[in-house]
Amino acid sequence: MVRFLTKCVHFGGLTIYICASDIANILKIGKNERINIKAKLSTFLTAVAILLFASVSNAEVIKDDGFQWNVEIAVAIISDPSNLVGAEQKETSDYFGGSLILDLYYKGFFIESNRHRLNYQLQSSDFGYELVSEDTYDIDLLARSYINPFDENNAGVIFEELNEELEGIEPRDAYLLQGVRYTGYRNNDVYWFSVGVDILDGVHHGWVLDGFYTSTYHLRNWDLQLGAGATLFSANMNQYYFGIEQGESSDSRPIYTPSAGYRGEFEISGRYPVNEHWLLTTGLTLSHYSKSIDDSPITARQNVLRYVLSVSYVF
Amino acid sequence: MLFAGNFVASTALAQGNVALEPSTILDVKPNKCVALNEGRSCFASVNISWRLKAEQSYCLVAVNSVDEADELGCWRQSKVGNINLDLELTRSVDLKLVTLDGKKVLASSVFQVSWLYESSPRKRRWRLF
Repeated sequence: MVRFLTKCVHFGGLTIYICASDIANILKIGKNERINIKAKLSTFLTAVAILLFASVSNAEVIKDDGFQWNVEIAVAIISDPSNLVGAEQKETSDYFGGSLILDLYYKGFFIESNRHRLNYQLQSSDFGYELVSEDTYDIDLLARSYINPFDENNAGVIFEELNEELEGIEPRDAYLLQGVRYTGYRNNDVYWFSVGVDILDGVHHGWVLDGFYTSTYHLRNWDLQLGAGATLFSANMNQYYFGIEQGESSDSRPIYTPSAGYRGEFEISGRYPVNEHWLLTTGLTLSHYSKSIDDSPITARQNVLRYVLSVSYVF
Repeated sequence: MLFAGNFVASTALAQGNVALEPSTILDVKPNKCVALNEGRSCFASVNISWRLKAEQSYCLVAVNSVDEADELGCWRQSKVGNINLDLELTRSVDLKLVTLDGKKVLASSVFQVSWLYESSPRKRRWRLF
């Protein structure tokens, strides 16, 4: 997935930021690319691991050999106060953004955005290998970044702008956690449960448990979707993203060591086909963070209400 | 009116080998409907209006791609008319004004059903139902 906000182009899946104001830096490795290099290494290692695993897994599993793809370009109005300090939207341009979303599938391998979530346009892509695909469920090997990366210049939906309240923190990168996902399909409901562990990068050695249930209702040509779920983060992962180390601490940002925590989410969204190529999407996501995350000096609020109104061109 | 998948076998209506009366008008507004996914029912409220060259008796029918026809209404000794319908369709249909015996097509228009996402079992990963 490639996503871009007004000031930058952001390759979400591989996490590459490209700013319109400085196209020349596309080929450079600068401060803002630190996130990206680590993420790309993680992506590469994960891809190799999945490839190796897939090659020795059950050879009798018949895969759909066809190469399949899906590309969408979306422009959106996004209201996302973020749970991070100083990441609130201030200028009008902060509310406008866009994405280039690329999904690929080939012989069981996939790069995909989670279309069952409203925020698929804002999240990094998932990488994986389909172990089992039945009518009612899928089981996948999965590499996924469960928390969006941030640093002192990129937080929430604000990119390429110094966040004074985060100034001096070490970048929190988009490491892909390796794990397994079970996805169930029942009538118009989709639900999944995944576990991810930081094995290959070994940066924080944390783990994540993620579960979500969505139900879709057809109202004439609209799809109305209701969903709820929770993500449990280990103490190690919380420490990496929301902890404050000695070197980052200051008078206003004391050392902080969080315990395990969670993020609970409720979502309602609607999708409407404007014509054969244009899709209208709108919805709300309410995120509630645990006290261990809310108590971090770099978080500002325990509840975040995000609103998205987007139009996408589907190729 | 719901006529998705419940077409009645037609007579010569769907054969396409009958002459069309020249100066007649059959107007369908809107004349297309877009569903989110291929195979999903598409819902549309349409207004169908017509004007014929002379007063006569006729029926309005919808003919699908496999030549099955569904009668939507019949009128006696009329030259102009219109009808509002709530359609639920999965495929495009030809809307036709035909004589009562079904042997002559007086006017014809297409109501097109299309979709944003093609149907694919694999792509359930990416698309909603």
